[in-house]
Amino acid sequence: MTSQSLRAREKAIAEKFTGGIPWIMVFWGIANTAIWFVLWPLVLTGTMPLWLGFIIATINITASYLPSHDAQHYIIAPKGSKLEWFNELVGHWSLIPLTLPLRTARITHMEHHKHANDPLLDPDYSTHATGPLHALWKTVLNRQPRAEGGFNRYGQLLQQWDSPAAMAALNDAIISKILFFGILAALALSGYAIEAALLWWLPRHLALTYISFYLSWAPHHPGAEKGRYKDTRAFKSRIGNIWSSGMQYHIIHHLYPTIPLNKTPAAYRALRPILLERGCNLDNI
Amino acid sequence: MSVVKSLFFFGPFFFGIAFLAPLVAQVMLRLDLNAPFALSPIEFGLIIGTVLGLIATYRGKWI
Repeated sequence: MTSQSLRAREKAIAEKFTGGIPWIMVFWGIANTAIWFVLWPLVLTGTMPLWLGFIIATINITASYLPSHDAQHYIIAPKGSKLEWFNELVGHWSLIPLTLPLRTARITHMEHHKHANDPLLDPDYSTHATGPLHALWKTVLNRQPRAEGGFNRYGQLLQQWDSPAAMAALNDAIISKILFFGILAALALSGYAIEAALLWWLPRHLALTYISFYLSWAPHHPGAEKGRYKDTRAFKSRIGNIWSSGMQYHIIHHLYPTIPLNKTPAAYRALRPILLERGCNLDNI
Repeated sequence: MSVVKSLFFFGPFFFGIAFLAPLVAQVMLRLDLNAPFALSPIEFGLIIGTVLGLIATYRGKWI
């Protein structure tokens, strides 16, 4: 079979998994942030113990990225459609606990798709690491004040790109960061430092560690090759697909970014024979 | 942009005095711990927060 006909078959199969509103992602995004907001009055009034609030907040903030990720790709509603506003609403709302603005996430993520594994052009290249422990350590290093990777790398690239969209994304990121630390300081100075630390600051750090590890490092490791069929992989996660946020089938997302997260396992099973023919790294799953 | 860059450059220092200092003080009060040298919890927190914040500002990293 020629490469062109293989691609046509691949596309025909993939199209079966696109279209429609992924309601599970919509519900997830809206409910997740709502629960996180509700934690604050519950904990501050003593209705919920702080330790329980900390656990739930950590889960909330960790789970906050993926619904917005579908929105970044306009999967919830296509760009230019009547429901685009709804796509944007879910995208903005779901990212509030993570304090990562949608426009910043979207523009950098699109560049990641275009240039995955390129040391100079991939905004997420700083998560590359030699192994799992190194990857965890890199997430810590990338969050240091003057780190060259992580969100600082996003800031550098946005300034380099210097387009109106990049400047808007940079402004969003600056405002978001100032608001985040401003609110933390206001809470701390009002006598709620421990609550702020355990409902937002520490859970966010734990969430960013998880997100960097499972959503960036693991699906791209070893990250040495570029190209449509080589820049990401399928992999067997030790904690299973759900607990690794569906990233076992990340290769499907890079090939067809408009397939919703919840449909990538089925799409993977349908596309697997073609991916094998393409020589993709499928880690025997 | 230069104002923002300066603000972020000194971010760890601000974080130290505006967040870490009250956090240390409130943890001490919650755990009923006494500060050394008869310092109040917030005085002790300010010393810790300022020192850590200044070090992180100078080094560009907390750890």
